[in-house]
Amino acid sequence: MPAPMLIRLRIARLVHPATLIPSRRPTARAAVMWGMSLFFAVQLGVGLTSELYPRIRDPLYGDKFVKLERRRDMAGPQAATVLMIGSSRTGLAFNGKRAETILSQELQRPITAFNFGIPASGPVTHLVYWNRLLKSGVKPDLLLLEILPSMLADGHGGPLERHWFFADRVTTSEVDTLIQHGFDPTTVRERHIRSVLLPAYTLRFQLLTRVIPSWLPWQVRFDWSRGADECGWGTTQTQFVDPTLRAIGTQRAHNEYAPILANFRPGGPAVGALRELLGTCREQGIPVRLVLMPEGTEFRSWYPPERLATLKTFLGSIATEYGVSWIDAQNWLPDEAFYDSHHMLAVGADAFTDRLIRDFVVPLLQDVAGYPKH
Amino acid sequence: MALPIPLPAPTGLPPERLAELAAELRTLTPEQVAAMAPDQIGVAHAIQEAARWASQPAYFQWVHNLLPEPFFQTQGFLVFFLSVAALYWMIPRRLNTARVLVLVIASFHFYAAWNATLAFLVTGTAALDYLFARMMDGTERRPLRRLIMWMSILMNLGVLCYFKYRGFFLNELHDLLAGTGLGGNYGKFTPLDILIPFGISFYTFEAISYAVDVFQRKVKAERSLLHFLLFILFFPHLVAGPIVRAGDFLRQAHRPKRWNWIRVQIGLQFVLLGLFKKLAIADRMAVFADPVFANPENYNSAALWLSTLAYALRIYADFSGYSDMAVGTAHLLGFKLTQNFNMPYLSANVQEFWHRWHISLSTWLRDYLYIPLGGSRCGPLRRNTNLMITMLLGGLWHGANWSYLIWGGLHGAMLVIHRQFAFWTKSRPRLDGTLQSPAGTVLRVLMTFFCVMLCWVFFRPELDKSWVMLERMFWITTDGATLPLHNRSLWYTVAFVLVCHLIVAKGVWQWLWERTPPAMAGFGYATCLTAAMLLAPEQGQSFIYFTF
Repeated sequence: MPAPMLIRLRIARLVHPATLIPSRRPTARAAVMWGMSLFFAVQLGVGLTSELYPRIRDPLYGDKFVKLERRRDMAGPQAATVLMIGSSRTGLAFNGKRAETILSQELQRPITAFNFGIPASGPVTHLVYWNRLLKSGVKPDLLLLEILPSMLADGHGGPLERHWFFADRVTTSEVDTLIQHGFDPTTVRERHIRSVLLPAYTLRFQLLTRVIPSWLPWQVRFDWSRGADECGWGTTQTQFVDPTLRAIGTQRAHNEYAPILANFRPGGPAVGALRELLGTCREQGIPVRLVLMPEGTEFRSWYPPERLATLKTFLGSIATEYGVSWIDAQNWLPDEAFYDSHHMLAVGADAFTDRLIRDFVVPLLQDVAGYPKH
Repeated sequence: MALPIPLPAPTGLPPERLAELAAELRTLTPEQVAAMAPDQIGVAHAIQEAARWASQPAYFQWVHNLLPEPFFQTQGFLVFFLSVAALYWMIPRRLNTARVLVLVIASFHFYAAWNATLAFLVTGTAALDYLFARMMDGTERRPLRRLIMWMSILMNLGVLCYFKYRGFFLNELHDLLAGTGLGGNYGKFTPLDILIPFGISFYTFEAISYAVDVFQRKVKAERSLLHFLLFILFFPHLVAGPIVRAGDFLRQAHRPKRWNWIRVQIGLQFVLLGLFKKLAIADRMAVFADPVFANPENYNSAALWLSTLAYALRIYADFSGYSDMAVGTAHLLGFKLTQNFNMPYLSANVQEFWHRWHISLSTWLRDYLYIPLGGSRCGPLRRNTNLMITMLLGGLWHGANWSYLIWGGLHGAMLVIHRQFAFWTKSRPRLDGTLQSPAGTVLRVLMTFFCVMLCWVFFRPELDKSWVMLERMFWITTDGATLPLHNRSLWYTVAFVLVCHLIVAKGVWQWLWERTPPAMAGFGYATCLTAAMLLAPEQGQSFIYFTF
């Protein structure tokens, strides 16, 4: 090769990888084959691992579950377990540590009180999580189950929570549960298969949240449960909410909930999932209390009176049907206890937990388990 | 019927409802459209598109559903490309024309999946370009040849102006007439009235250069319509370049190709590199830049500076990533396209920047605009005027908007200043020596990057936002929000890109690569692809240059 051409080639190679010419053909083929094999091997590996360990697919569940197990181990085998499952409302409301203190004092024995509140969850999510918990050997002495009215609405296209509870958060054996409860079968199957075949892409936010959460916008992060305390409770960063901030938050809540509540009618697949969950509890002999969570004055005003009456009638009938009772906590707290008229601040959480435990949980556990009454 | 606000997303709406909404949108006045939020204009566009597709022939609807977006990083494109490549390579080598036919049909469908009507338009104008060139080749009379060349150029420029510049110029004329009291007797265009065909600027330039080259007898007029159509329509370069030259491409199109693993490896390398740039860098930087550029008045100065840095990185990674993928996919089909980027942010001056940035455009502008205007073979005043004209038109090429014109003008001014400064320093050896020293070079690179980065502020259609950005960047203010995401990932990305550039520029990459065993290289590919997927943000962004 003439010298000038050699120099040009050398310069070209220096400036851009485009000119990286492999020296031998077998090497090129081997590199391509290695690349493809390794890529698919990694995908398969992550896909299989995520199938075996739901914590990878669903850190919102997995991180809370690990905390629950740790808490139960610490309390010992004799400890009773009170578990509250619900949405972000529960996540910010039920202060497990505070509940444990009250309960241990009242009942004179170790208690684990755990908050399993997961944002944007409804009856179908709760059913999936409940089945996972039972499968993992968690059988609480009392289950407090939040009722989030908007999630029980009988809407078009399936349960409302389908917008947040995606099929990449469930294992293959759970896909049918979603489909049975109104999720679109094609969407669910397609998304789940993609999460198995290409987990590096579909599960990227779950994976990245573990490694570099600060690289992700908060909307796609999965660290809600990781940020909770050892009993699963978390609270907002801002505890002092001025009227402007509260108005903004309330407006956002209004946009999200008011249109649903205006035409609220419980029914459809979400109610089916709630029934299935309650049925499982009845079979297992686990006492359940349904909790209609506290709401601010403004939030309560978005229910037309007849719709609210329908809701309460529904709760009464389903409670009777499954032999459980329901707690109407809607008016328990003043407006200052909320961030946005329905998510509680720490002060609200304390008041709510105290009242819930003292007025409802202690008497129930005393009756059910025959613990001493003080 | 009143138009619902916010507009409903078109997905799932019945065709009748879509048609109703699209009809309502057509009745909006420019003032009403101007009052709409940018995201609502996006939804309105989507509604218009969905309504248009609902009335298209079933066959094209089916094609559209298979390939809803003509972007290389989508699942639809992967299936499309694998099918085309499999069919292409299965055809025996001796039937090269059949292979070309497969690529032409595939390229037509690639465009038709976005807009079937415009696919016919592009094919039709390309066929006319072919005929014009044949006519030119069929005569020896220079005036006639020149006339035919101008017919071809004017036809292409006419189509370009109609779609891309009509709205801008007529709106400006309307305002001018209204300002002078003469009054514009026509309605102004709104963003909803304008549909710019993907890649129109790219294939127009290719067609123009072909006409000029045939006229100047640099290339012979292509005899095969099929091969010529492939030159214009070849899907890897159709919508966002690189701008290819007929001489380079047609020679390759006629040469029968043999399956070659080396070529496959190079192609895959380019595709992976492009994918990584697009997903892991460009789209990630968009998370920092886009919200800030959309509402600069809401952010403090630090956020504005950082978002400008992110935008500089985004534009580079977005466009060079696209170009890499285009070059890679072409390689996988046995074609070699022009290299379009060469680490432009390591340029030590703005002239060097234009030798490394969008090379296919800058060389086109040089060959078909700057040199015909007189180039550098004239006095300083004329030379600088030529430079300014070239850069202003280069700016206008990017978009029919004052902001792109200003961007081009700023680059033109920087080129003129650099040329005069270089001339001035020639007579000052000490200063020149200092500037050429390693420290001086680093300083020049930083200075060039800073100037280029500031110019990117104008590289958006909203000129008023650009002024607000600049004002708040230089009149330091702490009022306003910080970046929408923690800036740690921004700095890591900047550092990563810088280190990669230095590794390649110093030859370390090449040295390592030559000694890498295949398994290790394969590991590198798998890691690159996995990392690109992992780092992809929630919403994929379309390519910036698709709109040009």
